[in-house]
Amino acid sequence: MTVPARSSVPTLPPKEALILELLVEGSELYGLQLVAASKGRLKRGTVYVTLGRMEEKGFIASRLEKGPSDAGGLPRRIYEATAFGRRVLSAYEHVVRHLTPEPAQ
Amino acid sequence: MTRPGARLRSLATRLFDSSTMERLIDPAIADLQHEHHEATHDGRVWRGRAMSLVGYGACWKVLTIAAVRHAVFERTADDDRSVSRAIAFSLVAVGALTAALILPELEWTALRVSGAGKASRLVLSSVPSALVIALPLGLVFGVLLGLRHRRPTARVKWTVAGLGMLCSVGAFIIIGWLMPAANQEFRQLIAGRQLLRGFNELTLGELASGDPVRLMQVMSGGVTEARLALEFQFRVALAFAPLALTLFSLGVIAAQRRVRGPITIAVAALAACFGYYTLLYITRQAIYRDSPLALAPAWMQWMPNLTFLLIAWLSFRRSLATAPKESPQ
Repeated sequence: MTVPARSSVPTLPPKEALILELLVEGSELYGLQLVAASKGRLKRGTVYVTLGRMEEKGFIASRLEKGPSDAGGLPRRIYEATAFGRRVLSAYEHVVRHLTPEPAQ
Repeated sequence: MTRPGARLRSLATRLFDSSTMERLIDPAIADLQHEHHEATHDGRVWRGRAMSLVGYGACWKVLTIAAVRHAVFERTADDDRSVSRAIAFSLVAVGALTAALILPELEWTALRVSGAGKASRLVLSSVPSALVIALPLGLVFGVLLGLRHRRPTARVKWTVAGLGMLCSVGAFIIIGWLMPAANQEFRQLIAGRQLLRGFNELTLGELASGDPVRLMQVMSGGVTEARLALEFQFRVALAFAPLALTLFSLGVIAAQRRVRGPITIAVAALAACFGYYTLLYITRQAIYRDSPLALAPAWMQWMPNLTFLLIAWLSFRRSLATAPKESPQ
C-alpha cells in the first residue's frame, strides 16, 4: 500500500471547516454573508485571507457577481464549495464523529 | 463623488499584484462600497458613515495582512538577496560608525582611568549614545549600498521599511532609557564620584513628567517646564530618525534610473547624513536662540524628519510615475 505524501493530505483548520459547512448549507454566499452567518466566529478583516487560502487548496471556487452591483461599485465575489471541498468536509466530519471521546458514564 | 475605498484601492494597486487585488483587497472594498450604498440609499446617512468606518477598518486589516504575506511569505530569492544585502551592509555600517564614535572618546578617557574592569565599563556605557547616531546613519549607508543593484520590488520596500520601523522602536528604547543611564554611568566613572544629572541623563519618563521642582533635586543647573518639553520632543523625534532615513533611502533607490557605482552611492549617503545632522543643528540653534524665523519648537524638532520624509514621498511618486507596474505573480 502506498502512503500518500504528507503534504498531499488536505488539512482542514476549524475556520475553514466552518466556511465549508456554511457554503454547503447555503450554496453560494458573499464574504459578508459568511461573516454574518458565522455569528462572530469569522471576522470581516480576515475572512478573505481564509477564503483565498481555501481557494488555493481547491476547497471552494469563486466568481464575480454578474453585471454591475446595485451599488455601482466593485462587483462582489461569490463563493461556493467544490466537490473536493464537500468530500474533505465529509471526511472531516466523519473523523470528528468517530474520534470525539464519548462522555463518561 | 468618489466612492468609499476608491483611493485606498488606487494605493493598493500600486503595491500589490493582480492576484492579491482580486482575491483579498477588491472583495473587502466591494463590501465597503456595497454596505455604504445600501445604508445611504435608504437615507440612513449616519449608519452609512458608521458602516464606512467599520469597512475601512476591515480594509486596512486586509491590506496589512496582505503586506505582511507579501513581504514575508511570497518573497523570491532575488528579494531575499536584496534584503540580506541591505541588512548586512547596515550592520557593518552601524558597527563601524559606533566604533568610530566611541574610539576617539575612549582614547582620551582611557588615560584618566585605571583597571581593565573600569575601562570595559566605560566602553559599554558609551555604546548607547554612539548607537543613537550610528543607527540612522548606518541604515542610510546600508539601504543605499545594499539595494543599489536593482530597483526594489514592493516586497523589498515593505520589508526594509519594516526593518526601519523596528530600528526606530529600538532607538526609542535606547534614547528613552538606556542612553540616560549609560551616560550617567560614564560621567561618574570618569569623575570617580556621584554626580547630579544633566538633561541627557534624564529618562523619557522623567522628561515627560514636566515636573521641574522634583527634577531639580537630582539635576545640576536650571530646569524649566518648557526646556523639559523641548528635550522630550527632541528625543522622540530623534528616535523616529531611523525610520525617516530608511524611507528616504528607499525612495532614493526606487527613483534612480540607472545603477550607480558604490563610491557615488557612498558619497550620496554621506551627503544625506551630513544634510540630516546639519538640519538638526540648525533647527536646535534656531530654537535656543529664539530665532524670529523659527516655528513652534515642537515643529522645529521634527523638521529634519519631515524634510527627509517629504523627499522620500516625492521620490516614491517619481518612481511610481516612471516604473512599469510589477508583473502579477
